[in-house]
Amino acid sequence: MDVRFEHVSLAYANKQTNILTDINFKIPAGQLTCLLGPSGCGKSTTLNLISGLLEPTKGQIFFGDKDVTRLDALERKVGMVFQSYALYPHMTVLENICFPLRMAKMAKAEMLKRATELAQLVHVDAELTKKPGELSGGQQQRVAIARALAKSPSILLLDEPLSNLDARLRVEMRDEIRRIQKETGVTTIFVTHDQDEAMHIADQIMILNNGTIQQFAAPNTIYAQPQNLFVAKFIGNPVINTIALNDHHRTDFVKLVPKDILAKATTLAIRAESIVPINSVDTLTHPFSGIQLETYQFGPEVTTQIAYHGVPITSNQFNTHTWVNNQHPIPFELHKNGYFLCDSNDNVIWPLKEPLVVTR
Amino acid sequence: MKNKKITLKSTLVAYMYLSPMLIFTLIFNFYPIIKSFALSFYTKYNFYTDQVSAIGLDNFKYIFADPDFKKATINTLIFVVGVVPIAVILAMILALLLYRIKFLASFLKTIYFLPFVTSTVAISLVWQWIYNDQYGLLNSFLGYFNIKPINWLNDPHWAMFALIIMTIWKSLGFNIILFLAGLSNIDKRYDRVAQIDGANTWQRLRFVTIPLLSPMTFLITVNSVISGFKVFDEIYILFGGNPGPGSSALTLVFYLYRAFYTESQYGIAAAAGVVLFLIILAVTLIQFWYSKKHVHYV
Repeated sequence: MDVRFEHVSLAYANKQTNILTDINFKIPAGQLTCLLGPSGCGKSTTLNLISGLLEPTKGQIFFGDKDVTRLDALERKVGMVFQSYALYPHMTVLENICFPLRMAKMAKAEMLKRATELAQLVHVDAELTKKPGELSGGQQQRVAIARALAKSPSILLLDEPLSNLDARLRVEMRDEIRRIQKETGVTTIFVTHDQDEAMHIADQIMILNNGTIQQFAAPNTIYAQPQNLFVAKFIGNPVINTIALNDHHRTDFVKLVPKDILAKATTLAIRAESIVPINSVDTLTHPFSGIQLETYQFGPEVTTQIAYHGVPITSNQFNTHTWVNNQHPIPFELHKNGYFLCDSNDNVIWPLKEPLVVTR
Repeated sequence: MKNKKITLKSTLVAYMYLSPMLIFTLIFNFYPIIKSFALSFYTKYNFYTDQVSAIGLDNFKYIFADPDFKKATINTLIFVVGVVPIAVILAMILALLLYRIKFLASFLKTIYFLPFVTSTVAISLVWQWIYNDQYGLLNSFLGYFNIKPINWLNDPHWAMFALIIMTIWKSLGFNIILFLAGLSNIDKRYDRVAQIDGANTWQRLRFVTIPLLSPMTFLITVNSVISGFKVFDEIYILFGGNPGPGSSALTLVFYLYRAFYTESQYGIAAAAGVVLFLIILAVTLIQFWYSKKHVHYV
C-alpha cells in the first residue's frame, strides 16, 4: 500500500518551532524506502507519524486512498521493528511471533502454521523454543521482523533496525532485510542515519534535514544528482570535497561551465573518486593541477591529499606508486560525473539536470 | 587488583575488614539462633544460672499436645492466608493505577507510604479507635448502610478479621513503593510494541506487564509471607496486650512471647520458635520452587 503525506507538519505543544514543516511525499507500494538523515532531522518522527504513534498537527496522511490521519497504529495495521528489538523477554521465539496472531484471535493450528512459515522466512526456525535472551542480536532482529510480519501488515516500519548490531552482522542483516522484503513484497519503510546502509538496501531514499525533505529519489540518482550541498555531503564515503570558490578556481572552470552559472556559483563539490590521474577514461578533457600533500594507504584504499589552489581536497584514485614525494606538483583531471557547483543557497546549479519530478 | 594472587595475608586482610560486621552478626544473630535451637531441647533448665539439668524432646511433645499451640498455628495460617493475597494484589492494583496517573502522583505516593514510616503502636492505637464498637469510625460508617454495630475487638468472630484488615492497610505503602519500582524497571517499549501487536489495555497488562513484574511480585510475596508468620506487635497493641478476645488472635509469635515472658517456660518458647522457623522455611522453599516456573527474570 502506498503512503502519502499531504502538507504534514508537526510541532510539540510546548514548543514554537516545527519538527516537521509542510511535508509532501508519496512512498510507492511494494518497495523498500529509506528515511535517511542525521539525528534530529525528523526521520524517526516521520516514521512515528506513518505508524500512528504520533498524530500530525497539520495535514493529512493516506494509506492508498484511505485517510488514516486520525487512526492509531493498530487500526492502520502497521508492523514495526525497533532498534532494540523489544521482543517480549518472558516469551519464547514462537510465542513472540504468535503474539500478534493471538491478539487477533487466530485459531491455534493456523497460528502455529503461520508462525512456523515466518520463522522459516527469517531463518530462525531452529530457535523456536528459545527465549530472546538466548539469541544473538541478529537472531533477535530476525524474530522481531517475523513478529512484525505476522499479522500481514499493510506497511512494515523499521526504526534503525541495524544500529545495535556489529559491523559485519549489519551487512548480513541488511541483505537479509532486503531479501525478506523482496520475498514478501510488503511496503517497507526503513529509518537509518547510515548513508551506506541506505544506499545498499533501498529502492529509494528520502533524505531529511531540519524537518524538511532534501531529496527523494533512487539511491543512484541521489548519488549522481544531489539536489543540494547537504545531500552531496551526506551521501558518499569519503565525504565529498567542498571548495569555497576563489578566482583561481573560477578561471579553471571558465571553459567548462557557462558564464552565468559560474558567476552564481559559490561552492564547488567534488567526489574523491572523481579526482583522477591524467588520461583516465570519461573525464573532462581539461587538466587541473595541485600540490600533493600526503598519501595514506589503508589496505586496498589509497587516499591522496591535494592542495588545489590552496584548498586541500582528497582523492582515492591515485595509487601509491604514482607519486611518492610530498609537496610534488600533481596534475589531475575531473571525472565527468561527481562534481557539482552550488549557489549561495547551497542548491546544485551545475551540471544541469532534468528538473526533479516531485512524486505526488 | 583483580590479578593479585590470593594469599593467606590477603585473606586475613579481607577478614579484618569484614570483622566488625561479622562479629556483630555472630553475637547478636547467629549465636541467639543456635542458642535458641539448643534451648528448645532443654527440658530442665535454670535460665538465670544457665544450668541445664535435662535435655530431650519434651518441649516439642508439650507444644504439640497443647491446644493453644494448635490454635496459634491455625490462627497464624489463617492470618497469612487472609493477609498475603489481598495485600499483594491490592498493592499491585494500586501501584498500576498510581503508575498511570500523572496528576498528584507523588502526593498520593506519600499518602500511601505514610503507614510504613509510622510506628505500629500509633497505627494500632488509631485503629483501636476506628474499631471501637460505640464511637468507632467503621461502625458509624456501616451505620449508614443500616448494619448493626460490630464489636470488632471484643467479638472472637471478628477480631482476626479486624487484625487482617489493619495489617493489609499497613503493608500497602511499602508494597506499593516496591511495585512502583518494579514497574518503572519495565521498558516502556514492550507496552508500545504490544499496542501495535493489537493487545488492548487488559491484554497488555495480562500478557506483558504482569509477567514482567513477576520478580517483584515474588519478592513482595515472600516478604509478606515471612512477616505474616511473624506477626506480633499489631496484636499486642490492638488488643491491649492480649491475644484477642478468647485467644482468637493468638498467633505463633504471641504464643512464644507468652511462654517466654509471662509463663517463663523458656524451653517451650524456644521449641515454638523452632517450629515457626521450620514452617517459614518450608513455605519459602515451596515459593522458590514455584517461582522457577512462573517468575520471569529478564
